[in-house]
Amino acid sequence: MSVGYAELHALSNFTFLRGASAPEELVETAAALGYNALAITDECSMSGIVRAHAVAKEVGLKLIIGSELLLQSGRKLIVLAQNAEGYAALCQLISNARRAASKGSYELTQLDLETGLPGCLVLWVPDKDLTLGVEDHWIRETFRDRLWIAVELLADGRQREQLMRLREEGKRLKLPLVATGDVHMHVRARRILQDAVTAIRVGVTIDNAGFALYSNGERHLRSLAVLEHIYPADLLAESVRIANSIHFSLDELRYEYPDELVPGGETAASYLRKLTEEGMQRRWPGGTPAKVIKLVEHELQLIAELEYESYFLTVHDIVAFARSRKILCQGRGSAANSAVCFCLGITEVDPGRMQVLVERFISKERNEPPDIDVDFEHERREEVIQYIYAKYGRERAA
Amino acid sequence: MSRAWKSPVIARDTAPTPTGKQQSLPFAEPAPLVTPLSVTPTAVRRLWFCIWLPNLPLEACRSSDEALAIVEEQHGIHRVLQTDRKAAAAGVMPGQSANAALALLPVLQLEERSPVREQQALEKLATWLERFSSFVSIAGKDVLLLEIAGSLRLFGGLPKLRQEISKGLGKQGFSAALAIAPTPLAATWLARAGRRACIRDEDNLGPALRKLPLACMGWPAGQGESLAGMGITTIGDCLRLPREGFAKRFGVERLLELDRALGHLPDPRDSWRAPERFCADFEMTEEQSDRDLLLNICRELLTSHEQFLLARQLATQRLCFSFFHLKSAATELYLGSALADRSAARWFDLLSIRFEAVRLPEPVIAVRLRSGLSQALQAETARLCFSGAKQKRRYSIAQLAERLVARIGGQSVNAVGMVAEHRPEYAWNIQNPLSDWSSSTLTMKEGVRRPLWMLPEPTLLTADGAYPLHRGCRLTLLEGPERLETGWWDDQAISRDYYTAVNGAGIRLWVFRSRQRSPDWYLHGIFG
Repeated sequence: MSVGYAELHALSNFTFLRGASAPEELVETAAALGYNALAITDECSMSGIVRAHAVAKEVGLKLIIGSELLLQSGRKLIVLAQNAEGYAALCQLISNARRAASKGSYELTQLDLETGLPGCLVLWVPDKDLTLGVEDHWIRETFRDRLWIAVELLADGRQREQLMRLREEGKRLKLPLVATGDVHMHVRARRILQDAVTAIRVGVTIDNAGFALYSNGERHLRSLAVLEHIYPADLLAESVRIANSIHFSLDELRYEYPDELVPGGETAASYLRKLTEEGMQRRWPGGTPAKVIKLVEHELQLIAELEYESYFLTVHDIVAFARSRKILCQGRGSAANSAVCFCLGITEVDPGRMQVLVERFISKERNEPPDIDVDFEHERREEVIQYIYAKYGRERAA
Repeated sequence: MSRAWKSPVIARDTAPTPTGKQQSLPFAEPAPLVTPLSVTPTAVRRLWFCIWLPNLPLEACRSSDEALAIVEEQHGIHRVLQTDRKAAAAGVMPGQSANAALALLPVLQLEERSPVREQQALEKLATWLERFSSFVSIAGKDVLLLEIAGSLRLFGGLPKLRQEISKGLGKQGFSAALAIAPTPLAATWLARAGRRACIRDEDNLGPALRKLPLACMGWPAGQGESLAGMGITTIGDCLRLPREGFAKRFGVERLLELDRALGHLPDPRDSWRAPERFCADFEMTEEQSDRDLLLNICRELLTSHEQFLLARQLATQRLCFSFFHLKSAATELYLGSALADRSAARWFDLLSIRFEAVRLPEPVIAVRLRSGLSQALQAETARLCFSGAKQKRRYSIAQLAERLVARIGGQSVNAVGMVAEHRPEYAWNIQNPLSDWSSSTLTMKEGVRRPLWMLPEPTLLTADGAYPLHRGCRLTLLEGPERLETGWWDDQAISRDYYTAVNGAGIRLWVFRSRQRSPDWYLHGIFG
């Protein structure tokens, strides 16, 4: 009776010059091998997870989002997002670590992890010392019951000793052990490419790369039968247990629109309604046609259902700024030709004089964000860009 | 070390001091010389050790058994400047004309005074003194200064240090007057005055200096005479004079000199730096072909070479002896060592092995020792102890290698080096045993076990089911597998599972099972 296995340490080729297989390849292979789950843990990066997510949905594999982090002290950790909160914490950590260093590298120290990464699970990948020194005991203190020791048995000839010593270390630190595979490629045959990118990374020819290369191709997705031969059943079972405790999918994520545009005492919906009604009076000083009132009512209802108020408010804010500076602008796009946009001054297409079907543009079924493009006169475009940066901050504008 | 100690001296010398005020003093309102100027509080206390060599002209001369006198030309006449004990006993005295001296002692050897020779002797001494302090200064033609505040602890206190320097000077045939004071000038004057003074505290400096006669300051004779004419015979008398008048009469320079001696003004000194490569000659009084004697001379040169390197914490890997002959070209003998070394004894061991084979076409008139590029001394690694040998000597591997090379020649001795390569066949190569092992960064890959004895080719083993057989005996697999699959870029790709196995006789073997084609077992190496 197979206990199953979830690979919790796998690098894709989004870990540049280390990983040798695409995220899609890893996901497909893991699914084909019957893995319970696969974690894509690129080094201090989330770049590969969207592709992995798409394929994982297709093949029906549980995908876990995580990252491999090498601290300045030389300690290697794998952080797995257990829920949306953990995912946010991990993304924040990666952004900070990347911004603290020059392009292409990152810097992480104990200080960066002091928040404890709520909502994350952490695996410590021991180096050849196989022991967590006193100077690193903070790792155990910080993550306590969310910390495991990753046991990676990769046929280096000392597997038995490694396992024995890590068992002792686990007892000493009161930490559970889990099997992981330090996966760098989806199949053994990728070793050649993995060696090649390693040589490129080190900057030597392949025959001079020496010990920079791995001595074998064990860092691939191994079959369950092979893994059961190599790892004790309890370590494999622990990987499944960890995977089962993770309930997070990229599907849960949605775009978080800016919410500071709504004045106190108002909700986004009430404020949008207020602005729209003000706009109606401006557009039709002599009284709004009943047809338009009905249309606006219908649209606002739809927007409220889909919670897109903030989106419309954001576009309105930018357009209002441009208008106040007399910067020419014009909205277009699927959602632009709505009555609400006309009332907000985003577009100039009078809904009273044409037939529009808002559902064509904002659809409940499609569940996609609305699309409003706004063109600004190119000579003064930069003013708008600077306004957006100033208002929403560099962290939230791009 | 030397650099770190030197910098405070510079820092002090360039530190803002009331220099400007003092230099303008002669033109400012008169102040008695004794009025203490705003004393510079020195961040680091300094202590200067002065060595005055009054007999340098004589002592710089190579001594011979004959009575010796140094002569110097004064107003067209060669006059005796200094004499050794034998000459003095015969009545030869300084000031006599050379002819008078020869008349008194016909066997007297006369040597013209040579400032070059004296300077060389001073430099040699300065180089020797570098072992006591990182700051040695040659001050004038017969004075050496050492800054010793930082050396006291290392040498076990002032008396011990003084004793060692004094002993060393005597051994090298120099008679010196020594004095210690917080300023270099004070130390110099005290030494010249023949006071065996040791003043450690700046407060005691004034009283000690005041008693000194003016002569010790080495001022021009005319100034000394005019001061004497004024009834001024000691430094104390000088200090009682009004500063301005004194400066007007004798020059600002003299005034500033007094201030420096008292520590009121900084007194920067140049630090002597010995050349970083050793080169020394030994000239013989007559041609020599006695090999033992030549070896002894070489040993002496090696000893000074060792001391030279010791003072710099250096060592060298190459040496060259040149044996000069009267007519033929010099015979050269190069010595090399695997490990940078400075020990005279070890170099001498190497030399004596090699010297046997050296053919000298003619007797030797001089020997020169030049050392190769020096490098920081490295810690030695493993030592081999030949327990079978009765002698208790221990050799490091590098020492053993160089002895073997010296005996049987470079081509016959090889070293096995390691190569960064996973495939066992390519993980080693043959290297020059004298190449610098310690500089190679490559070490054995950590954690892997490799047998010392690798078979030239893996040999096929028969198998009994899943287990390999060795000499008909089933092997027990102890450890493994260590999977090696690499080398795809050339024709020698391997894919093997290595195991440590033990045979019936308890011998540990290194075996592998091929993962290519047929899963055969091979024996590849034998552990101890």
